[in-house]
Amino acid sequence: MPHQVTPQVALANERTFLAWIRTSLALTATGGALVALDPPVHPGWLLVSGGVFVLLGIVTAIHAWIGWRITNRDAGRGDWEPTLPLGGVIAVGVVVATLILCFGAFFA
Amino acid sequence: MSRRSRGRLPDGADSHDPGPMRPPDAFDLRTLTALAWRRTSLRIGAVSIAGAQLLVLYYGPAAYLLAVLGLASALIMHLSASRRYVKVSHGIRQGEHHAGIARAGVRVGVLSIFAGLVALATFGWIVLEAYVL
Repeated sequence: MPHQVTPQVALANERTFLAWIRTSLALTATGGALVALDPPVHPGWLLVSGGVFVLLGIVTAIHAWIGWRITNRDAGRGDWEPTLPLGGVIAVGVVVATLILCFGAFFA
Repeated sequence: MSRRSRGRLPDGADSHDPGPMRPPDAFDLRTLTALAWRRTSLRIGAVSIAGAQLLVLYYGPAAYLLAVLGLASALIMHLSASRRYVKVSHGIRQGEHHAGIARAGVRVGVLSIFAGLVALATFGWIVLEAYVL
Protein backbone atom coordinates (compact mmCIF):
# COMPACT_ATOMS: atom_id res chain seq x y z
CA MET A 1 0.00 0.00 0.00
CA PRO A 2 1.54 3.37 -0.93
CA HIS A 3 2.51 5.75 1.83
CA GLN A 4 -0.11 8.52 1.78
CA VAL A 5 -0.06 11.11 4.53
CA THR A 6 -2.53 13.97 4.28
CA PRO A 7 -0.97 17.44 4.02
CA GLN A 8 -2.64 18.49 7.28
CA VAL A 9 -1.08 15.63 9.25
CA ALA A 10 2.32 15.94 7.55
CA LEU A 11 2.55 19.65 8.26
CA ALA A 12 1.32 19.29 11.86
CA ASN A 13 3.91 16.56 12.38
CA GLU A 14 6.60 18.86 11.00
CA ARG A 15 5.60 21.71 13.30
CA THR A 16 5.59 19.36 16.29
CA PHE A 17 9.09 18.20 15.34
CA LEU A 18 10.28 21.81 15.10
CA ALA A 19 8.78 22.62 18.51
CA TRP A 20 10.72 19.70 20.03
CA ILE A 21 13.92 20.87 18.33
CA ARG A 22 13.46 24.37 19.73
CA THR A 23 12.92 22.81 23.17
CA SER A 24 16.15 20.85 22.72
CA LEU A 25 18.05 24.01 21.78
CA ALA A 26 16.60 25.87 24.78
CA LEU A 27 17.58 23.07 27.19
CA THR A 28 21.10 22.91 25.75
CA ALA A 29 21.50 26.69 25.90
CA THR A 30 20.27 26.73 29.51
CA GLY A 31 22.79 24.09 30.57
CA GLY A 32 25.68 25.73 28.74
CA ALA A 33 24.82 29.22 29.99
CA LEU A 34 24.55 28.00 33.59
CA VAL A 35 28.11 26.69 33.52
CA ALA A 36 29.56 29.55 31.45
CA LEU A 37 28.00 32.38 33.48
CA ASP A 38 29.32 30.86 36.73
CA PRO A 39 26.62 32.05 39.18
CA PRO A 40 27.28 31.95 42.95
CA VAL A 41 26.58 28.22 43.20
CA HIS A 42 28.81 25.39 44.44
CA PRO A 43 30.82 24.38 41.31
CA GLY A 44 30.07 20.65 41.60
CA TRP A 45 26.32 21.14 41.88
CA LEU A 46 26.45 23.71 39.08
CA LEU A 47 28.17 21.28 36.70
CA VAL A 48 25.72 18.49 37.54
CA SER A 49 22.74 20.78 37.02
CA GLY A 50 24.12 22.07 33.71
CA GLY A 51 24.91 18.52 32.63
CA VAL A 52 21.36 17.35 33.35
CA PHE A 53 19.94 20.22 31.28
CA VAL A 54 22.21 19.39 28.35
CA LEU A 55 21.48 15.66 28.58
CA LEU A 56 17.77 16.49 28.42
CA GLY A 57 18.56 18.53 25.31
CA ILE A 58 20.25 15.50 23.69
CA VAL A 59 17.35 13.20 24.57
CA THR A 60 14.85 15.75 23.24
CA ALA A 61 16.66 16.06 19.89
CA ILE A 62 16.68 12.27 19.46
CA HIS A 63 13.02 12.07 20.50
CA ALA A 64 12.10 14.78 17.99
CA TRP A 65 13.51 12.80 15.08
CA ILE A 66 12.16 9.40 16.17
CA GLY A 67 8.75 10.90 16.97
CA TRP A 68 8.55 12.54 13.54
CA ARG A 69 9.44 9.28 11.79
CA ILE A 70 7.00 7.15 13.82
CA THR A 71 4.13 9.60 13.36
CA ASN A 72 4.81 9.91 9.63
CA ARG A 73 4.86 6.12 9.28
CA ASP A 74 1.78 5.43 11.39
CA ALA A 75 -0.23 8.27 9.85
CA GLY A 76 0.24 6.62 6.47
CA ARG A 77 -1.32 3.44 7.83
CA GLY A 78 -4.19 5.34 9.37
CA ASP A 79 -3.69 3.90 12.87
CA TRP A 80 -1.90 6.86 14.37
CA GLU A 81 -2.63 7.95 17.93
CA PRO A 82 -0.89 10.92 19.51
CA THR A 83 1.49 9.93 22.29
CA LEU A 84 3.79 12.02 24.45
CA PRO A 85 5.89 9.50 26.36
CA LEU A 86 8.83 11.85 26.89
CA GLY A 87 6.93 14.92 28.05
CA GLY A 88 6.84 13.73 31.66
CA VAL A 89 10.51 12.78 31.62
CA ILE A 90 11.50 16.24 30.38
CA ALA A 91 9.32 17.95 33.00
CA VAL A 92 10.73 15.84 35.84
CA GLY A 93 14.27 16.33 34.52
CA VAL A 94 13.92 20.11 34.48
CA VAL A 95 12.53 20.08 38.04
CA VAL A 96 15.42 17.85 39.23
CA ALA A 97 18.05 20.04 37.53
CA THR A 98 16.51 23.17 39.08
CA LEU A 99 16.45 21.55 42.53
CA ILE A 100 20.11 20.58 42.13
CA LEU A 101 20.87 24.21 41.27
CA CYS A 102 18.95 25.40 44.37
CA PHE A 103 20.88 22.97 46.59
CA GLY A 104 24.11 24.23 45.04
CA ALA A 105 23.15 27.82 45.81
CA PHE A 106 22.34 26.82 49.40
CA PHE A 107 25.72 25.11 49.91
CA ALA A 108 27.77 27.77 48.11
CA MET B 1 -26.74 24.06 27.27
CA SER B 2 -25.94 22.51 23.95
CA ARG B 3 -22.43 21.48 23.05
CA ARG B 4 -22.29 24.02 20.24
CA SER B 5 -23.15 26.94 22.51
CA ARG B 6 -20.34 25.94 24.89
CA GLY B 7 -17.83 25.23 22.11
CA ARG B 8 -15.80 27.49 19.87
CA LEU B 9 -18.25 27.64 16.98
CA PRO B 10 -21.10 30.15 17.25
CA ASP B 11 -24.70 29.07 16.72
CA GLY B 12 -25.43 28.31 13.10
CA ALA B 13 -21.75 28.04 12.11
CA ASP B 14 -20.52 24.96 10.30
CA SER B 15 -16.85 24.03 10.30
CA HIS B 16 -17.12 23.14 6.61
CA ASP B 17 -18.52 26.50 5.61
CA PRO B 18 -16.16 29.21 4.40
CA GLY B 19 -15.92 32.12 6.77
CA PRO B 20 -13.89 33.46 9.68
CA MET B 21 -14.41 30.28 11.77
CA ARG B 22 -13.43 27.79 9.08
CA PRO B 23 -10.54 25.41 9.79
CA PRO B 24 -7.19 26.37 8.26
CA ASP B 25 -6.61 25.11 4.73
CA ALA B 26 -3.40 23.81 3.19
CA PHE B 27 -2.18 27.34 2.40
CA ASP B 28 -2.58 28.49 6.02
CA LEU B 29 -0.87 25.34 7.27
CA ARG B 30 1.97 25.80 4.77
CA THR B 31 2.48 29.33 6.05
CA LEU B 32 2.38 28.22 9.67
CA THR B 33 4.93 25.50 8.97
CA ALA B 34 7.22 27.81 7.00
CA LEU B 35 7.07 30.30 9.88
CA ALA B 36 7.94 27.51 12.32
CA TRP B 37 11.03 26.67 10.23
CA ARG B 38 12.03 30.34 10.12
CA ARG B 39 11.49 30.66 13.89
CA THR B 40 13.72 27.65 14.44
CA SER B 41 16.46 29.00 12.18
CA LEU B 42 16.35 32.33 14.00
CA ARG B 43 16.63 30.46 17.30
CA ILE B 44 19.72 28.63 16.02
CA GLY B 45 21.30 31.93 15.00
CA ALA B 46 20.52 33.56 18.35
CA VAL B 47 21.83 30.58 20.35
CA SER B 48 25.03 30.55 18.26
CA ILE B 49 25.73 34.24 18.86
CA ALA B 50 24.93 33.98 22.59
CA GLY B 51 27.10 30.85 22.92
CA ALA B 52 29.99 32.52 21.13
CA GLN B 53 29.72 35.58 23.38
CA LEU B 54 30.00 33.35 26.44
CA LEU B 55 32.78 31.15 25.08
CA VAL B 56 34.88 34.19 24.13
CA LEU B 57 35.59 34.52 27.87
CA TYR B 58 37.23 31.07 27.79
CA TYR B 59 38.73 30.66 24.33
CA GLY B 60 39.15 34.19 22.99
CA PRO B 61 38.05 35.44 19.56
CA ALA B 62 38.28 31.91 18.12
CA ALA B 63 34.89 31.30 19.70
CA TYR B 64 33.33 33.60 17.11
CA LEU B 65 33.89 30.79 14.61
CA LEU B 66 31.00 29.08 16.39
CA ALA B 67 28.78 32.08 15.72
CA VAL B 68 29.77 32.08 12.03
CA LEU B 69 29.01 28.36 11.69
CA GLY B 70 25.70 28.70 13.52
CA LEU B 71 24.63 31.70 11.46
CA ALA B 72 25.58 29.93 8.23
CA SER B 73 23.54 26.86 9.26
CA ALA B 74 20.57 29.06 10.20
CA LEU B 75 20.77 30.93 6.89
CA ILE B 76 20.93 27.71 4.86
CA MET B 77 17.96 26.29 6.76
CA HIS B 78 15.97 29.49 6.36
CA LEU B 79 16.60 29.66 2.60
CA SER B 80 15.93 25.96 2.12
CA ALA B 81 12.60 26.07 3.99
CA SER B 82 11.51 29.26 2.24
CA ARG B 83 12.34 27.79 -1.18
CA ARG B 84 10.32 24.69 -0.39
CA TYR B 85 7.41 26.84 0.80
CA VAL B 86 7.36 28.79 -2.46
CA LYS B 87 7.65 25.60 -4.52
CA VAL B 88 4.87 23.74 -2.68
CA SER B 89 2.56 26.77 -2.68
CA HIS B 90 3.06 27.03 -6.44
CA GLY B 91 2.28 23.31 -6.79
CA ILE B 92 -0.94 23.64 -4.80
CA ARG B 93 -2.02 26.58 -6.97
CA GLN B 94 -1.43 24.39 -10.02
CA GLY B 95 -3.82 21.82 -8.56
CA GLU B 96 -1.36 19.24 -7.19
CA HIS B 97 -2.95 17.73 -4.09
CA HIS B 98 0.18 16.95 -2.05
CA ALA B 99 2.79 18.93 -4.00
CA GLY B 100 5.59 17.19 -2.09
CA ILE B 101 4.41 18.43 1.29
CA ALA B 102 5.37 15.28 3.18
CA ARG B 103 8.90 15.14 1.76
CA ALA B 104 10.81 16.83 4.57
CA GLY B 105 12.86 13.82 5.63
CA VAL B 106 16.32 15.12 4.72
CA ARG B 107 15.78 18.53 6.29
CA VAL B 108 14.31 16.95 9.43
CA GLY B 109 17.22 14.50 9.73
CA VAL B 110 19.88 17.17 9.23
CA LEU B 111 18.29 19.47 11.80
CA SER B 112 18.00 16.64 14.35
CA ILE B 113 21.65 15.70 13.89
CA PHE B 114 22.66 19.37 14.13
CA ALA B 115 20.74 19.88 17.41
CA GLY B 116 22.13 16.60 18.79
CA LEU B 117 25.71 17.55 17.87
CA VAL B 118 25.37 21.00 19.46
CA ALA B 119 24.04 19.38 22.64
CA LEU B 120 26.82 16.74 22.60
CA ALA B 121 29.50 19.41 22.13
CA THR B 122 28.03 21.41 25.03
CA PHE B 123 28.00 18.29 27.20
CA GLY B 124 31.62 17.55 26.27
CA TRP B 125 32.58 21.09 27.25
CA ILE B 126 30.83 20.69 30.64
CA VAL B 127 32.66 17.40 31.22
CA LEU B 128 35.91 19.18 30.34
CA GLU B 129 35.11 21.91 32.85
CA ALA B 130 34.41 19.27 35.49
CA TYR B 131 37.74 17.61 34.72
CA VAL B 132 39.58 20.95 35.09
CA LEU B 133 37.74 21.58 38.35
